Amino acid sequence: MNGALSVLAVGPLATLQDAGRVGYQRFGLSPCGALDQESFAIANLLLGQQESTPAVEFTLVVGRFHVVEGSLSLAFAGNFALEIDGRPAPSWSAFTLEPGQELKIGAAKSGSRGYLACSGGFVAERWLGSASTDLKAGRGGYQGRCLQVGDRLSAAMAGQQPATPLTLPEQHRLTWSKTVRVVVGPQDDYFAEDVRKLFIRDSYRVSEKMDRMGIRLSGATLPAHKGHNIISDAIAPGSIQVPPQGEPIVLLADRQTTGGYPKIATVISADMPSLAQLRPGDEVTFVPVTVDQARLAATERRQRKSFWPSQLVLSNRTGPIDTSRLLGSNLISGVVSGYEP
Amino acid sequence: MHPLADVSLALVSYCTPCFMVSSSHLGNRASFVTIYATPRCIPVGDMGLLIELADEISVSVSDDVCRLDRQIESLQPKGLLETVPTYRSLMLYFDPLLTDTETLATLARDLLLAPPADEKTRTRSWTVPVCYGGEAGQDLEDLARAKGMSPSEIIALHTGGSYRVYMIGGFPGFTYLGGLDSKLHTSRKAVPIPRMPERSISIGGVQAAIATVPAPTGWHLLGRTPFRAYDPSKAEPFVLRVGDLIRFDAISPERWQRLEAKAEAGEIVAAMEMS
Repeated sequence: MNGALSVLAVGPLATLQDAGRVGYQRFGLSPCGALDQESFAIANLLLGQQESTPAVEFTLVVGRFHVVEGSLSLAFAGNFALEIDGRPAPSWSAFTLEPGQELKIGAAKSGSRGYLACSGGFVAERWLGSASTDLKAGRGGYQGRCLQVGDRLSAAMAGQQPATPLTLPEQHRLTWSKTVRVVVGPQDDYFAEDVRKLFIRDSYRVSEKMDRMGIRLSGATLPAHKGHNIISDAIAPGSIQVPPQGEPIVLLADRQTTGGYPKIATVISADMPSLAQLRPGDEVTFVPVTVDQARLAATERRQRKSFWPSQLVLSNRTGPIDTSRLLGSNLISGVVSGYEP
Repeated sequence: MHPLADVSLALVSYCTPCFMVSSSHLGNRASFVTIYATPRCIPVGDMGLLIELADEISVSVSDDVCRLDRQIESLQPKGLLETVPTYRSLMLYFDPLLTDTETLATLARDLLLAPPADEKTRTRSWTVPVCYGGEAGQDLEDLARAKGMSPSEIIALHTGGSYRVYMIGGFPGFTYLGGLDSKLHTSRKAVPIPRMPERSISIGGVQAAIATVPAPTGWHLLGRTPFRAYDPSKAEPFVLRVGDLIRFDAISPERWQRLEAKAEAGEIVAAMEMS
C-alpha cells in the first residue's frame, strides 16, 4: 500500500496546488496554483523532484497528520513550527515518517504560506492540465476542495525510499519583504494625482479578509475621479483593484479572471512570493518601478532560483552536499533544475 | 515631481489617446464609434500587456479583438502564455524572461495596422432554449410590472434579440452578451441576491448573460436554460467562445425537463449553425 497521511486536524485553505492551470482564463477559469511558487518549488527540490509536483499549500494554521499504511518521504518549506511525535523538527527540510508517526505543523512563525511535498507527489485529481485545486469550480487537487479532518492524502508513488535529509540552510532561506514593488496601471489614469501619491506614500494594513482570491487592504481610501466602473477587462495576477468603497484589494491566483473595477497598479512578478506571504496585520507599502526594473528583478529572482539545488545540505552537516554522493544514492528521480522546461 | 512621473511608461509615447474616428475610414463599420487610432498598449506588471482598442462596447470593436486574438494565437509568439479577450481589449500574459512588452506591443500594432487579411472566419450561431418565469425566472413578473409590460412581452423582446458573446469571465463559463433590446435596459437590483441557480438567464444594465454556476448577482433573473455552456465533466468543458452569436428560444417547463435530462447525459442542447 502507498503511504498516506490521515488528516487529524487542519486549518482553513489547505489545498493541493501545482504551478497552476494555463490557458483557461479566457473561459473564466482562474489559473490557481501555489501562491508562493518559490517556497512550493523548494519543498519539491528538497525531495530531488520536479519542482511543480503537486504539494499541499497551508495558510497560517496547519494541523496534525497521522502516517498510515507505509512510510513517507516528505519535505516542508515555510516558516512554520514542525513537530514529529512531539519533538521539534526543522522546517525547510526533507524527512521520512514511518506508519504510526504523527506530524504536527504549528502556526506560521513568519509569512503565511507553507508547502508540504511528498516524494513522487500526492495523489491529486488532474483537471485541464493541472492538479491545482480550483475551489470555485470544485475541481482538481483533493476532490476540488480544501482538506478536512478525516481526509486521507496518499502518496502517488508506492515503496517510498527514505528521504535524503536535505535542508536549505538558514542563510539561503527565503525572506519576504513588506515593501512590494508595483508597475502603475492599467487604470492609474482613473485616479487623480494626489490619490496616486496617497497610494504609494501610505502603508496599508493587511486585513483579516485574505484568501486565495485576494487580500483586502485597509488604509487610505482611493476615490477614482473617473469613477469605479470600467468596461470589464482581464485581471492580472497582483492587480490592485479599487472598488467604490475605495480600499484596495490585491488579487491572487484564484482571482476572478475579469472585472469592472479600475486597477491602480500591478505587483511585479518578482514580488509575488512576498505578496503571497503577507499575513493579517502586516503593514505593506507599494513602491512604483518601471517595467524594465520589474523584468530585471524577475531575471535576478530566476537566477537565484537556479542556485537552490546547490545550496541544499544534509541536515547533520554544514557544508554543501557532495553531489556525487547524492547522485550515487539515486535519489534524484525528477529533474533538479532552477528552470521549468 | 509627481512620484509616479519618473516611471511614466515608455510605451505611452506611442499610445495615442482615444478620439472619434468616422466609420468611413474603417471599412464597413456601420456606426460612429470611439476607437483609438492606434491601440493603447498598457503594461500590466511585467507579465501582462493589455491591448486596448477602444473605450466603447460595439460589435466592430469586439470583431477586432477577436481577429487580433486569432492572429496572435496563430503566430504563437515566443514566451506568450495565454490571452484573454474582453469587450474592447485583449490581455496577453507572458513569461517576462522570454519576451517583453515592447516586442508584443509592436506585434499587436503591426497586426492591427495591416490591412485586414482575407480571413475565412465563420461565425457560430447558437439557439439557446430558455424556460422563462417560474422559480428560476423570479424577476420576470416584477420586471414586467416595472416596465409596464406583460411577462410575455418581456419574453418576446428577449427572444427577439440577436446577441453576441463579448466576454466570458468572472465565473467558469459565465457568458456576457451584448445586443439587449433597449426596451429591456434596466438598472441592477438594489439588493443583490446571494445565490442565483446554475444556468440562470439574466439581464442587467444594457447586457444579458448566460450563467453557468450558482453565484451572487444583482441582475434580473428571467429564466433558466438546460444548456450547459460549462460542463466540468467533459474533456473540453467550455462550449461558447467570444464572438459567437446567441438567440434565445422560449420553451415550456415540460420541454425544459426533457432537455435537462438530455443535457445531464452530456448532450449539447443548444443548436449551432455556422455562417
